[in-house]
Amino acid sequence: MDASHFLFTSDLPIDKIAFAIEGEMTTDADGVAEFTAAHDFGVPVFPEGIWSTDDFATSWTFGTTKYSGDTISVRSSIIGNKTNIVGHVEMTPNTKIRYRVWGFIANSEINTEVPKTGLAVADRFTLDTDYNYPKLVTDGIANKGDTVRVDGLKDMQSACVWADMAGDDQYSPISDGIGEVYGGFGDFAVFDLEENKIDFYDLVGAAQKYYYRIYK
Amino acid sequence: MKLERFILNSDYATLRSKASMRLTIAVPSTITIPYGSPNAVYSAEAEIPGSASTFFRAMWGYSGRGGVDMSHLRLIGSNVAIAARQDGNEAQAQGTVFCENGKYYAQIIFPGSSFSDTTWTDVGGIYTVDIQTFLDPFRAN
Repeated sequence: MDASHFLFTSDLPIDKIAFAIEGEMTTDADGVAEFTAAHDFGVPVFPEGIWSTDDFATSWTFGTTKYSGDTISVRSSIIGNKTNIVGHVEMTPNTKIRYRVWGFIANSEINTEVPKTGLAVADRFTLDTDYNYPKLVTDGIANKGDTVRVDGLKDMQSACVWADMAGDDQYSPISDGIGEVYGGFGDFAVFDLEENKIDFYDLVGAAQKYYYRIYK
Repeated sequence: MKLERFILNSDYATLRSKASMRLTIAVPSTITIPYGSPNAVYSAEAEIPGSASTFFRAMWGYSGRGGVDMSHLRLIGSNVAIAARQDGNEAQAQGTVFCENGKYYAQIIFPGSSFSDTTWTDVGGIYTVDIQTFLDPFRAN
């Protein structure tokens, strides 16, 4: 057992999932499937999730792109805004897809009412230190071109970044190939582990804002 | 209930880490793609035990040059743009990570052209991908 896996510390907040939804959709004759789920937080939400064609025996992460030779054979994305979460999958036509989506709201919205997530199984707390629960070090909003300094960045375990492409508070995980949708690649965050900083690049002039979450 | 309240009340789900793995891809410094040929794809793959149906996050690292100095830096995302030079001009290749049928793949794609030969330069180096998987929060284990 690794003591660093122990959760019961209040030094850092545990990642709290603010919403969780699941459902089913089928790709059309063009191989496109999309769902829209409304929420009533009134603030932007930052979604992520998985989808599956075999009842979650295996799954794909929303934001995954697969190249087959010179073409993209699988593409998926997810976006959240102040009212909705929209998921999008492109793959083989007439394929039934199940999806599970969850996400967060910014800590700056700390007074937002968050209903119980309602996952009957996963909600049960396990005081078991064999599992490593990501611990949120910091989160925040950055504008394109910003440099954000994070003490101890080299010790981070993982991070997530969502991009607001049009400055209208609609956020997608930065991993979802958004640059491609907007005509070029290049919207990304560069983590400088030596200088303890994050540079939010915008090579194609598309993304306006970024929301980031840093974990230990 | 407010967000700042401690999660130990079990009203909320959280993410639970499952496993992590690093893949590495070696790319030569110069890549020439004859016109009409498929894209040049460099890849690595691995199974991550118990992670056939998990959510993952990926971060890229790059030891080489590639248009800007990215030494010791990490790019975030399963898809990343890779600054490089195509026939002498700054251009971008793409890296992607996906999981299919339980196996994780990292690919770096250097596009070719159907009209002329394509040469990518200053792309060489070791590309690393750190993949971290998480338990699907809808599952117990």
